[in-house]
Amino acid sequence: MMAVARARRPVRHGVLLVLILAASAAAALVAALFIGSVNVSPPDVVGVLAGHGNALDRTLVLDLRLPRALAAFSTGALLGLAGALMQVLLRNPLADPYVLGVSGGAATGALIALLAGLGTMAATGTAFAGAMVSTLVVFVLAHGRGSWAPTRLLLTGIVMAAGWGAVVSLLLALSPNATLRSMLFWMMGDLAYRSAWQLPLLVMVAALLIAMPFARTLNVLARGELPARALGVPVQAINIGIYLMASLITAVAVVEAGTIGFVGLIVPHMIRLTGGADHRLVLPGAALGGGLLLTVADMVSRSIAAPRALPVGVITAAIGVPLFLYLLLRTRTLK
Amino acid sequence: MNPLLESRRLQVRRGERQLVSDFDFILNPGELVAVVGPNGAGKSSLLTTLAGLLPAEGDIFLEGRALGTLSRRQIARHLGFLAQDNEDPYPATVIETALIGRHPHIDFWRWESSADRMRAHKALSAVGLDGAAERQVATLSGGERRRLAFATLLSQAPHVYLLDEPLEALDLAFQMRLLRLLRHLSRLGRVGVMFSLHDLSLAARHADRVILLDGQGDARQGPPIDVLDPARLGRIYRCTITRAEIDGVPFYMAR
Repeated sequence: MMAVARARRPVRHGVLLVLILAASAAAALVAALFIGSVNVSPPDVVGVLAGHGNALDRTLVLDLRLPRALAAFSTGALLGLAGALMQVLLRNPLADPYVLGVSGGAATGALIALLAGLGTMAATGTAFAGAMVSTLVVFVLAHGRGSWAPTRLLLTGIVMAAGWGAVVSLLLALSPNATLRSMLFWMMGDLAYRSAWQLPLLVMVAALLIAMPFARTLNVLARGELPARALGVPVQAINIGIYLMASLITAVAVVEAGTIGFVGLIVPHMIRLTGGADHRLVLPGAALGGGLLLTVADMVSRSIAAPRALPVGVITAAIGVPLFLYLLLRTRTLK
Repeated sequence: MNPLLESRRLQVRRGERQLVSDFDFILNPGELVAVVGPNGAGKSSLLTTLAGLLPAEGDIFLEGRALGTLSRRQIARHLGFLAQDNEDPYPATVIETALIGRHPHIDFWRWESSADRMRAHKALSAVGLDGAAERQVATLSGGERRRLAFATLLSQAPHVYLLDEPLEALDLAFQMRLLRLLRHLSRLGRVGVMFSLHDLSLAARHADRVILLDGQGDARQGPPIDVLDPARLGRIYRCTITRAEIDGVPFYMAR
């Protein structure tokens, strides 16, 4: 019985980690309402939340800060989840949401719309279309006549991503100075001009609800394709499901906020380093951790050098790199 | 009663090469069958094909049912496969890895029960890893990982064990322990075991039957003493192989 009690401990540990992340994310979302480039005093923010406050404060807190914080959280959560899924799909710890070319397709779509002078609304639509085209092309080419091996998928995706990169360079070179600026802003990854937080949040919650029942299957799949099949996993179907889900949620994140690097690569590993590699923990943990990281990073990026906003990708790296290295070093010494 | 595993006119190919042709085979409960042959003769391909993990030409029946009509999950409840090598790109503890074997038995919406955990712990103690349950797999030695892979199979608790070189990387004591464990399993439950190995002496001593692959399509089956004929072995392995007996136990030596 001792042995059973000992074996259960990791589950409790994982639940605790998810609860801590959820509480931190909630705290970060609340904090984001208090912090911004324009000063609204904390009592005034509380007043707005209680339903009072003047019109300007209400606009700042409820129409600007709240949607932006929710957009940051949802986007970060999508990227964390997509990264965790890609890392299982490709059985490669270096995989991130963009590795298979989804972001390159989205950027190409967006830049074509901007170059044609269709404006940012249209760019959102063409970015999504570009991401889906890239997803389908990689899907079909990687399948080929043979099996759907992770190595083949990875190579196909990387080659497609390189191709999109070249197209993006070409479009940038061809575009007049007037549109160049909006193009670069689109590509840098920024939450400033996004307001539709509802869709990413909805997609994120739906994706997590769909993925969670498969978490135990992902644990088996992470051991490799042959052992997984031998243990009863319909590997082909699961692989296709993971690929489509990861691509779709990456596309939603990219359309929402451009290509924000780092979150999707590092956050899943942070969860594995702190709580273990069980996907019943890694999936919700990566979503909450990604959301938390991007919420905090966005808060810092728009307040640290106010009124100037720094690129949020710089801040995610500034927070995430030292934290990740610390976790990595700590794990080494334990072994 | 149906045999545990049966194949009829099974063809095993790798690329253009026909490794085994028209393989008719029956595995009954209680049997230990050894597969031997030179490198590249098709031992792994044969085991992998019988496990339903490679496309099969010919018929395979698992406990009387055609393998092709069963889902992977249904197969995994009855048939366990030990691959020659395991990859583990992500961190995992020993007990988590052993619990993976319970996967085909747990319903989609459920998590591992305490009964599953008990089974995994029992499997670990059967291979002498009960003290290492909470260790990271990455800290295990090659032989310990091999034992862990076998423990995962034990917690899967199939009726048919298809083992690709289960003795590889094990020290002599654990080789004996594993062979005794396999014999114990086959006698006790409705279990049949088919395993590949390179040590002809161990095959002769511990298997009820031996399958000798020549890599040209021929798969000779029968009692070890008949199949493992030194002259035939010499032709297939292309070296001189002699058989000696010490206290009535056969030993094979290559020269």
